[in-house]
Amino acid sequence: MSKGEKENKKKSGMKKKLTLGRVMMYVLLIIAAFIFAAPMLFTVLSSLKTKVEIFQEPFGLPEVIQWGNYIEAWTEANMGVYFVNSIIQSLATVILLAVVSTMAAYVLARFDFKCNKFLMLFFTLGMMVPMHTVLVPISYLISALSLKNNIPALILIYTAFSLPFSIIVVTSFMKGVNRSLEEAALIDGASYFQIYKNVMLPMTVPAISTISIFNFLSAWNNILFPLLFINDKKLKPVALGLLNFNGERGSDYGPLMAAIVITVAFPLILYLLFQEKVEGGLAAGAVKE
Amino acid sequence: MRNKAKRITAAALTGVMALGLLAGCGSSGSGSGSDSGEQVTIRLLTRMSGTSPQVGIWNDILDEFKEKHPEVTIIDDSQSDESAYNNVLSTDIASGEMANIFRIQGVANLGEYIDNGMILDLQPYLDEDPEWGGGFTESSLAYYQVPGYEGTYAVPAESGVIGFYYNTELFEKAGISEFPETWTEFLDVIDKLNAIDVTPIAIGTQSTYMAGHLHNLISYRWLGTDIAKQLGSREKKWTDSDVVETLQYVKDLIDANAFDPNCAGLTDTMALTSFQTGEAAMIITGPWNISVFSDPEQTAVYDKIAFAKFPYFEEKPEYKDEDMQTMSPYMVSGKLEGEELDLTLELLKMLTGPEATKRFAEESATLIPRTDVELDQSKINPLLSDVIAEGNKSTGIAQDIFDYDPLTSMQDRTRNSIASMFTGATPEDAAAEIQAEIDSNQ
Amino acid sequence: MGIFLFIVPALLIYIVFQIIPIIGSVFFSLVDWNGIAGSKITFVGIKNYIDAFHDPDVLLSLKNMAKMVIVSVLFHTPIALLMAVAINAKCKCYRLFKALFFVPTVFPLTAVGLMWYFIFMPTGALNALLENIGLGSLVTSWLVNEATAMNTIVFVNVWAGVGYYMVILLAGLTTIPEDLYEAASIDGATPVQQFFQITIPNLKPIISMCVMMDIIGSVKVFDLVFAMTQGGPNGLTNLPTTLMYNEAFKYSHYGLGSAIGILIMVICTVATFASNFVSTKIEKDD
Repeated sequence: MSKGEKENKKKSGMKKKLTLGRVMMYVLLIIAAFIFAAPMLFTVLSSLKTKVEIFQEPFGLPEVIQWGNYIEAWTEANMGVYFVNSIIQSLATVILLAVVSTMAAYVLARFDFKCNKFLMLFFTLGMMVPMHTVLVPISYLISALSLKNNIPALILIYTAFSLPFSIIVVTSFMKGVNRSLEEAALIDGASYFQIYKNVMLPMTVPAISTISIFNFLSAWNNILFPLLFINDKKLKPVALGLLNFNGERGSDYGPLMAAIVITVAFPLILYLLFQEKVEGGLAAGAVKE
Repeated sequence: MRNKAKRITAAALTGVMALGLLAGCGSSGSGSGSDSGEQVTIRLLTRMSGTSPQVGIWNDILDEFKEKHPEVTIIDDSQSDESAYNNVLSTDIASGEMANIFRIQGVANLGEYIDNGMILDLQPYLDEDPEWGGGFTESSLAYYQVPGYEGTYAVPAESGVIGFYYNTELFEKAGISEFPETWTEFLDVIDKLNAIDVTPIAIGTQSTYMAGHLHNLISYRWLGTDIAKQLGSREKKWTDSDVVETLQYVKDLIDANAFDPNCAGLTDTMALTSFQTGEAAMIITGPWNISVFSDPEQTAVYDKIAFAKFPYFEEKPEYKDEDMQTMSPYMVSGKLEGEELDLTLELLKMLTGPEATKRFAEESATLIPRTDVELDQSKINPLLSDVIAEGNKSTGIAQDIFDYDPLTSMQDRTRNSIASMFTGATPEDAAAEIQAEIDSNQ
Repeated sequence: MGIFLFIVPALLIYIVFQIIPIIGSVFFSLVDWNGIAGSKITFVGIKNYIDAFHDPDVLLSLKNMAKMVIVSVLFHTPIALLMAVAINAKCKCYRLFKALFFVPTVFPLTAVGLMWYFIFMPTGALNALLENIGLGSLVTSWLVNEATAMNTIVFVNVWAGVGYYMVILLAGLTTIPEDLYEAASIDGATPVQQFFQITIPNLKPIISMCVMMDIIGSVKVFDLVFAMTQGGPNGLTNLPTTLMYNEAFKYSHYGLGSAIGILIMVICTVATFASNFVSTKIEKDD
């Protein structure tokens, strides 16, 4: 309460002193807002125009609103299928990561094995590995094991890349959780698995939701791995679907714009629904180091 | 500390061993020969994907095949997107598991694949079934006789002369009665079109193939189609003066304002659009766009488009009909045996036989180069008739100049360097850059 | 001891799909292989690395990467900091501003790249806008012109990432005790002075972390270039990542591709340690 009052005080104090500064600030903010909003609005506008209109009058309104672009993107260009694929693949990655990383974090946070420190470092190093470094061997692995178009394999690769981040965030969260409940459970004769499942997991929900949002977005936005390993049209994710418009000889820009809107819509909605969570999730990697 | 080091070494060793094992598995377990009775799977990897009419016919033929052979599973991996296509192909090549029917651009680079038994020599099968094999034009089959190897390693899936599609109305407006036959007349036409404020030639060299195609046409008219083989065999260099001259002609066109000054930032779609809306008077393209050009919904000037071959150089009348043709092949995996091979060939024959040829030509303006097909002239697009007529006159055909180059990177290298002339590079720069790629890979 | 099994799935996935491939990448970077199954893999030592450093394309891509990293670092954090301060002051509609600046960071970069592509293309929105407001002389092919192509992509990278750093800094701002500001304003410090004397010193650890993440992030940029120019025209906008992709998967130069891949990792690691070192040094100096 008192903090809020202080804030108000400060605000009113600043307002009086800083009229010119404030005006400057608003001008800059509005310019920035324009630079951020314009490309998005422009994309939406273009997605409702014909190809010729897009080239000839970039700012003009469409003569006839081309809802057909969306229909074409969704059905003919398969974006509908890709959309569902993206949801399935991203969700599976999120779930697998939640399970695997909380299990690992439970050990790392609660037990004093000699190698725990080393393991933590081992996982941390993974955060520095760019995907490109492992692209050739992974593609070799995938083709040697005939794992092309194999969704579980793709999910495992996503998981491997998000694992370091997830383990670090969850471990440091678990370290901060009070031990009393666990100890009580231990006295009651619960097994470690029961403690993990019934005590640790419920208490780690905030951290899990944080990493889950992060992991969902990275899986949703990834293009490199599906580009290399998924070529079955029935299994491609949306980010890859966007590239589908670059057909053999030319592409159609109206539906492409519609496809961009479709691709972007889901993360956008996710963000609008869970604004704080998403921001927290993305910032978590930074704050926890 | 020592413990850590030990662990890391151990992990490293395991890794290398695991990788070695995997490598072993990959190369030994690849032959998936199937005896009769076993389920046969036919995998296809072409560019036949997307929404164009020819893809519809392709799918119809696949369905027809499935009906005939319900026991066969068909996996169609075809990709319309070039990078996606290349990815699939390169993983296939790396693992040695080729699709039953696939497509590789280029000819000279096939040698390495043939050495590794990846591509089937189709000559025996062409001879065995003259009704199918005898119908292809000789020059198109000759295209896939790889230098240094016996046999024919592909059958053509699509061909057609590449040349100018032009807007007759704009030509009339500029006071041009006929499409120019010679280079001098051509330069004159460009001036006349510029005089009425029309972009003479629509091109978008961000799609670098458009610059490449222009240069192919010029090279074949100036040096004949053999130049592709000569460059590929290193008999000639890109920096040889006559090759540089071909690049100079591209530059001459740029300097004559034959193109939109912004064309380096345009894509093929944008160039096509400017031609379709009547802003540009000509465009270099192939028969695959005929169905688009004659569709009034897509092309405002659909009823004013005519086709003409690229002009020839007065100094070189002998190369007047040395043509660039688009050539898409179907190759068959060299690892097939028994029933799987028979079924694959059956499907290949369905895709390239007289019946399919007729359908592709009449319904999608796609030409499979066969001589044994009577096309229904009333069903066929007049533009396509012109293309066929011009194609029959060809004395030599080649597709892209890099097709005979054994270096896989030459497709991008040549196209990028040629396109760079549209942003100010000189012909000498471009030639030196291309030659440097060859020299550094010696 | 059985509890240790809990960590096994994570370890297994991590080792198989990350550690083994890294080792594999080192292996591939030391051999010559044309990517054709069954053809010989020959050990060539560090030849691929030597080739890489003699390849003008690689050198250009490294130059582009340096530009990407330096410009991103110079713009990302300062702009993000200004945005964060403005939003933290709870200005009017601050939620809207925050959402607007942040939202690009949740978009797939492929989509972001394509969005901007249509603005920067020759017949695109930017050129049309310039013509309309009488700045027709500035019209150019933004993604083709040698002077603007790479800068344009760097700009889009700044645009797409600034919201991320803003949110991190915003989280940092809320940890600075209000009393500090109050005391300062009683002492008569102007807001600008407060910004330099309180905000920045208190945010130092977070700022240096932003810079570090920015460096790593900018080295790894791929999707943007892939969507906007594919590295063209003529390699002008290649980054090591796009070049690596082309060399390995387009031209089947797996050795050179892997060498570039390892190079990217080395650059990332060195940059991380270097910026870590610098920031701890700065903190100590205070």
